[in-house]
Amino acid sequence: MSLNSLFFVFLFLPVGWLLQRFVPEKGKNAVLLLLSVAFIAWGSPRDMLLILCSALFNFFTALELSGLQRRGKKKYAAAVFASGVVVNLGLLLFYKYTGFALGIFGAAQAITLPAAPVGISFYTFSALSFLTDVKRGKAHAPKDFIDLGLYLTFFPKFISGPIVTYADFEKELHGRGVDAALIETGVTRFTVGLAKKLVLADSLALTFTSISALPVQSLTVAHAWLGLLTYAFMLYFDFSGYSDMAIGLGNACGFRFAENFNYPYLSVSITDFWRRWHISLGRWFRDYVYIPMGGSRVGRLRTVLNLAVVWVLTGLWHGANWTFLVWGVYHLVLLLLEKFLFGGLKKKLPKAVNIILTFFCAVLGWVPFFSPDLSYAGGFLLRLIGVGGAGVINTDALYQLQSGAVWLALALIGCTPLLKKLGDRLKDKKAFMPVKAVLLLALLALCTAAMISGTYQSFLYAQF
Amino acid sequence: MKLKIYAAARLLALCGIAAIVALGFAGKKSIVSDAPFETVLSAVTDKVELSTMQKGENQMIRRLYGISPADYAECALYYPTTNMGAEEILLVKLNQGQSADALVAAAEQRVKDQLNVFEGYGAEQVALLSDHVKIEAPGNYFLFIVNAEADAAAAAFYEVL
Repeated sequence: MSLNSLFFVFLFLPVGWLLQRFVPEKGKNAVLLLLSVAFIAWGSPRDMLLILCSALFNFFTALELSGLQRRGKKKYAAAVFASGVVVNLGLLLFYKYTGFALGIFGAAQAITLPAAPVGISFYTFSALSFLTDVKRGKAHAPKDFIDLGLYLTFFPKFISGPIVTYADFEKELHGRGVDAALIETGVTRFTVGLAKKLVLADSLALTFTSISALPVQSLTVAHAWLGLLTYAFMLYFDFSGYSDMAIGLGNACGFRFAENFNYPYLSVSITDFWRRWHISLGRWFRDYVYIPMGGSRVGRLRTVLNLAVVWVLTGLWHGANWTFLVWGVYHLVLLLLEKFLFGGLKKKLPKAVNIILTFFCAVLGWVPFFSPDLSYAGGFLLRLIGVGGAGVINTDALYQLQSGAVWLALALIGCTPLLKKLGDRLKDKKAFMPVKAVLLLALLALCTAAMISGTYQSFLYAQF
Repeated sequence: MKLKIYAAARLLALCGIAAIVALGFAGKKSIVSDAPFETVLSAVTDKVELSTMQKGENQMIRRLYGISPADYAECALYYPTTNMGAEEILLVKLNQGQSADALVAAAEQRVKDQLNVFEGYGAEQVALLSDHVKIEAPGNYFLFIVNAEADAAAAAFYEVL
């Protein structure tokens, strides 16, 4: 089930929300867990069973781990923890990377693999952070399976995050207050997220898919740049829209998830970009990979190695393909250049120049990210600078430019805090609330029209 | 005692995981074929009357099925020449190790959509969409066909793989 489907928005969500709202406090988490299980089972009953078995495995692993730690049996505890990591990582590696690994050895056709469960990357990272936090003593092993089950499967964040730590989630598991203001924030956030996805991202997707359907040899320079920019904004509005919806749904149920995006295309450096783009993933790699390896306090060479490990893993986390690996390494190189070579120079440049430079560096990185293979990525990059292809511009590129220009202009405004600042400035005015309500209803109507016409695309990040 | 129970429960959950993973392979009789795409396409199209269909480009594949042809090794589409037609053929060769689940889901959705379109006035088309549909994904090839000769075309498809 997708968060942007008619069934979810007009049936599952209102019925589910009312159910959890009006059951007694004690039963709220159980209802939310049941809803989450139904949400997963709707897509695939097999996935639901697998996730439930895995959640049970993690539940008993945490109980055994903390029991052994309490009794001072460190070696056994370490072995239990290691087995938990192996099983969780093993599932992810099996489902997501077996085909890729077999392909390297030319044996991919030898076996037809079962499809990977949707959201397995996000689920695995949540489970790994939970076991690690229990081992580190940062989180308690829950005594009630409902607590862990809900943390691992909570439907707003199950498919595409944000990745929340159990320690943070646990704080709101019991006795969370849900007042009208939080519900209103949640509804607003959800609607804005839905509009980002269905109105902006899906409209930009029309231009991008038209361009990407063309053979790379027949792209003009204009096609290439238009395709690249539309993809950059489409990905941002697609994923940040999903995050808004997840955070909004969390709010409506009384959970407060940390932000996942903070106007990343206004970053002044690549380091800054990764503090603003998919924040929860960056934080996960920092807390569970980079810092345990020593972070940046272990000498220059070791720091480079630590960063390399993080960025190779970040690349591969997004997909089992050389293109994602190249994307990860590209960001590693940019970060190293920034850290060790151009850091001083960048500080001397005006802020606007740094924003533009960072924007283009980040956007160029999307070429291997969206390319099906490296030869397409290479061809596309050459088209950007006018090498090969069909010249600078042709009638098709002009048509695509004309039809996509409005959406690009809206995207440019939407990726800045302009609208939020305007809202903040006007929120004390008398007419603010009625106008906001009308605007939200209009957005919902637009989204409903998009859902009915069936033009919506599935969330891009659900595949990672 | 408690720790032993936890360890046993862990093992039980692990067995559950292993069983579900193993079930994922069950029923997947994999045929990995080296047959060239054009050969497979010819085998299928030779069995059907093509005059009611036209060849579709990548854009049309996106429009009808919501899938991206760039994600697959090769694709071919034949779709009706008029809005009153229901016959179509989609043949896809998958990349190494790629799953056909998305294609199967897209084809099933397409059948539902078409049934919605024709229900009530297109008895002939509804009959075609109810009784003469084949969705086959035996390995690295995928075939979706709506045609009176769907059975024969599917048989030819398997024969050439």
